[in-house]
Amino acid sequence: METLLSFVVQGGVLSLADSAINHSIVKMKDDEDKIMEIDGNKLLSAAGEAGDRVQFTEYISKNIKLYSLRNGYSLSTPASANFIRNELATSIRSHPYQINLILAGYDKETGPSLYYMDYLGSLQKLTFACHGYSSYFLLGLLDRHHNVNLTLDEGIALMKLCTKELNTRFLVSGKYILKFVSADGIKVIPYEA
Amino acid sequence: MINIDFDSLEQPTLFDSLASDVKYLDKPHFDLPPNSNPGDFLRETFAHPNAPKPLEFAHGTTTLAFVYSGGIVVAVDSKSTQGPYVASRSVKKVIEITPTLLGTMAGGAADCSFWERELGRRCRLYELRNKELISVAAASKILANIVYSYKGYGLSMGTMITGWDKTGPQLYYVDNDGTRLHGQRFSCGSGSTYAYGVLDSGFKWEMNDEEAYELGRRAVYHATHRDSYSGGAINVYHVQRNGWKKISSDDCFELYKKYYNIAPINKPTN
Repeated sequence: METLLSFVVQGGVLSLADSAINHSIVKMKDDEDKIMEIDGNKLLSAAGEAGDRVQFTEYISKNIKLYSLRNGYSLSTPASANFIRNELATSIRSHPYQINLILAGYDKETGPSLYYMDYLGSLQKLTFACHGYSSYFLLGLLDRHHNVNLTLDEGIALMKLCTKELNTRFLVSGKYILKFVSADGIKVIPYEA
Repeated sequence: MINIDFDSLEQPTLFDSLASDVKYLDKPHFDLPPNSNPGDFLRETFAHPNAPKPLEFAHGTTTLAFVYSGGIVVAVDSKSTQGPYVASRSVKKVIEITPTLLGTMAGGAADCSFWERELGRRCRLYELRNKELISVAAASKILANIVYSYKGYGLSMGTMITGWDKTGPQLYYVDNDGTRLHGQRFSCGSGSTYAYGVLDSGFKWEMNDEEAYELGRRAVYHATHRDSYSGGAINVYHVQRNGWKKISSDDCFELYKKYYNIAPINKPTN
């Protein structure tokens, strides 16, 4: 019952994730950060099997860091997306990581970009992306209201609209964490659903 | 100048195989059964009509730990059950990992005591190698990485790792599917939901030590009352700057008489 949601706005990408860790019927934690910050210009949101999320995102972020140390420049967002997809696709037949991902990033040359990945290894470049049961509520809403020319403030207002819909129609409700990646780097935006 | 032929040293010799053996001695590991997937093999084997009854772990448990202004309180019950059979009513479910680290035991008793003992060994080695105590974050990560590497092989453990390091009092929750969480209040085991009810409603950041001990004891007590797989004595530990201290060990029945002010029922009336 995890929620990941990201979309492109003017000059950046907004990424939202729920912050709850549930075990069967128990909420173990309500302030977990599921959006990993990579290289200061990429946001990797992940949700899925307990344990896999932290192990996989740490493995990815350390390898991307290693790449930048070895080569003196960082992996771009599309290159990172292909690297992550490849890791998922090679592990699926032997030791599957059961996690779904959204990669958001900002590159100087190409601007903001957003990649949707699932645990099977599919990769799609999109302007908005959503994982989990909440996608059944949010994709329609985003089809109707999203466009890439939204300003940051309009984007945050759209995020509010999304979490408001989740809190009215979705079985589970809880707290969220919102981050913004742009030319100025990564910013955590204080968020009250 | 004399040329010495070193080629013979390059050849694979006895020493190489010895070296590879020594490499594996560095960290303890288990030889796995000769199946491509031991997890599936076990499931299929025990699904067979003639199969012996599968092992039953000491599942019934209530353990909790919380951080407050005076440090960390750890409270646990002490009953061990194998199915309906009560194997013991005096299990030590608080595992003293090092003089500064405590762990709790829920799930498989053997898994918890073995791997937390191993964690203690690694923490001591860290201390000897680095001339400083290991942080709670690092210690809990070692355990989380171990259990993650055995994911799907049937380990069963739910544990809280607590201690006081350079960054203050710290509490982590680690379980057998590789989850590792940092937090203020955790409870684990079949009685955990009952304990959470008491713990969450009675928790304040500012408490004196006696209040905190009583909160932990009460939370586990109420869990043992509702959860038939929990019980025995309730052990309370306190983690402070200079290490942990055992505070108390009270029999549930004595606590019952105390809390409900009931006269002993076994006493002859004449």
